[in-house]
Amino acid sequence: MIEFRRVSKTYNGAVKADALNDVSLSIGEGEFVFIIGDSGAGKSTMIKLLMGEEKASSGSVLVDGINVGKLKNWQLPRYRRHFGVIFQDFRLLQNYTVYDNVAFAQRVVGASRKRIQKRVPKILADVGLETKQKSFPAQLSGGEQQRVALARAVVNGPQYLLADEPTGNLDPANSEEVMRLLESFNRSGTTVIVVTHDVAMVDQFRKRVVTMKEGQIVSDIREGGYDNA
Amino acid sequence: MRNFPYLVGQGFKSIFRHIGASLFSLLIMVFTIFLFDAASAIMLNISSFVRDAEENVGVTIFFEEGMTEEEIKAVGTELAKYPDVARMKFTSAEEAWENYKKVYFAGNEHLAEGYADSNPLANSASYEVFLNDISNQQDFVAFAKKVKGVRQVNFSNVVAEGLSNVEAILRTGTIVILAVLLIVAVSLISNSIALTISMRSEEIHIMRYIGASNGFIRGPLVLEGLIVGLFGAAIPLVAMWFGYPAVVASIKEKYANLVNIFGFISREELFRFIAPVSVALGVGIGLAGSLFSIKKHLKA
Repeated sequence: MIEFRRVSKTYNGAVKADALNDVSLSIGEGEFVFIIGDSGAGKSTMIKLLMGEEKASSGSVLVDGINVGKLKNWQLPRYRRHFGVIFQDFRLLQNYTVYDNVAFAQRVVGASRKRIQKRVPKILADVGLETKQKSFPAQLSGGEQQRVALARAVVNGPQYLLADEPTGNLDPANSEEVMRLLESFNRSGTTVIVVTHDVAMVDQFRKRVVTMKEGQIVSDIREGGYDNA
Repeated sequence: MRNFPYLVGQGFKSIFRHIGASLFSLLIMVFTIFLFDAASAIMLNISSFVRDAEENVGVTIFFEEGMTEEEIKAVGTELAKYPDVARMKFTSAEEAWENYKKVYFAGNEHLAEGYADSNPLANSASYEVFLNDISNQQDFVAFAKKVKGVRQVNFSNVVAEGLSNVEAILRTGTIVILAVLLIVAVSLISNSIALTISMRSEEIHIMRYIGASNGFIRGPLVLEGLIVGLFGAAIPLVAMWFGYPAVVASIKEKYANLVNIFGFISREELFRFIAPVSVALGVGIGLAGSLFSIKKHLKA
């Protein structure tokens, strides 16, 4: 369960900027939620707050009862293992093979070599990349790279999957493929939160849609789309 | 612990990612520790020379003419009251003459026969007094001169004082140079680690999102400093292991007279001190550089 309780976030730069303004939101276990809105609406700030990368200026962010803003630095790594994250620009390690990119996520959490050898090929098969294990990211299409990133995000079995503009660099066919994979991980119990501008995907998949504008939630609709946001 | 081989591998990889900066750090580290090793070798030997001097250079005390054996013994008892006296050796006038003959009439003993009936060193009975600490020599000489029956006090403090002075100057100079070099070495390693952090920033960002522990992220950076530190200590030690005996042999050949008086410390004795201290210095500089850079450039 994820809860934003009256969360505000202000960046104190040269000019004060309110990224989030009194936001309250609950996301239940196993939900699939799109968070949509223009650039600067506060979507990415929500992800940063969830990951403990930023702290709220006021209010609290709770994940399974844990107050994220109160976590100490040394507690953050273990907390972050509840999440898998994918980004618009994939963020793969270019000098690692597909297999090593995914295995890296397992190694980071201290998985045994035996477990890595068993788990990584299975996940790569789940995302349809079993034949690309020895390829490097530069040898793959955008869609394939995002699927590697997705495999890396789910290989440790996270409870929550955060996708920040996952289809932003993909053509429609690959976008749909990635969205289908996200949906399948959601069906197996993972809570999925997708931050996106992709009108077509939001309209096509008819999930819960939270719309943000200037740091505030302006609508929250079950089985919504851009058409009724 | 499962990830330790991986982290060590990453530490080595980081070094090769910016080999130029790594080599420069290593070079300064080698220079710093070599300077320490060489200065230690010189100072340990000087200390050993001073020890030799303290053990072997005594103060010789001669007595008033015509003193009886009892009176001379009484002077000896008085001299022994000085607190720092390590040992005393009495040489009678006859023994002094015998020793003199051995040295100066060697091979021409017949020349000494002219003195058969009268000992030319009749008034040369003496006490040779050895002190525990040679720096007390002046004080003891002043003490001995006041003892009744003492005619003359011979001593040589030139060697001991000279060595002590050289040691003090060398120690101060080395400490100053080492302090500067230590700062340079730590900042160069820190700079090298900062390069690694910058080159791996994307990877580090990904690691954070995946849930890598601080140890997993920082481990390779700490190990990078540690590896440079260990090599920085090992290279000068190897150089000293082979170089020290060669230098000692060369000095012994050139200054045979000096070597007869003073003994050099053995390589093993030298390494009992410089090996652990050099490794500790290398590890210390490497760790300090790493941790400084991590604290400055790597936010949690």
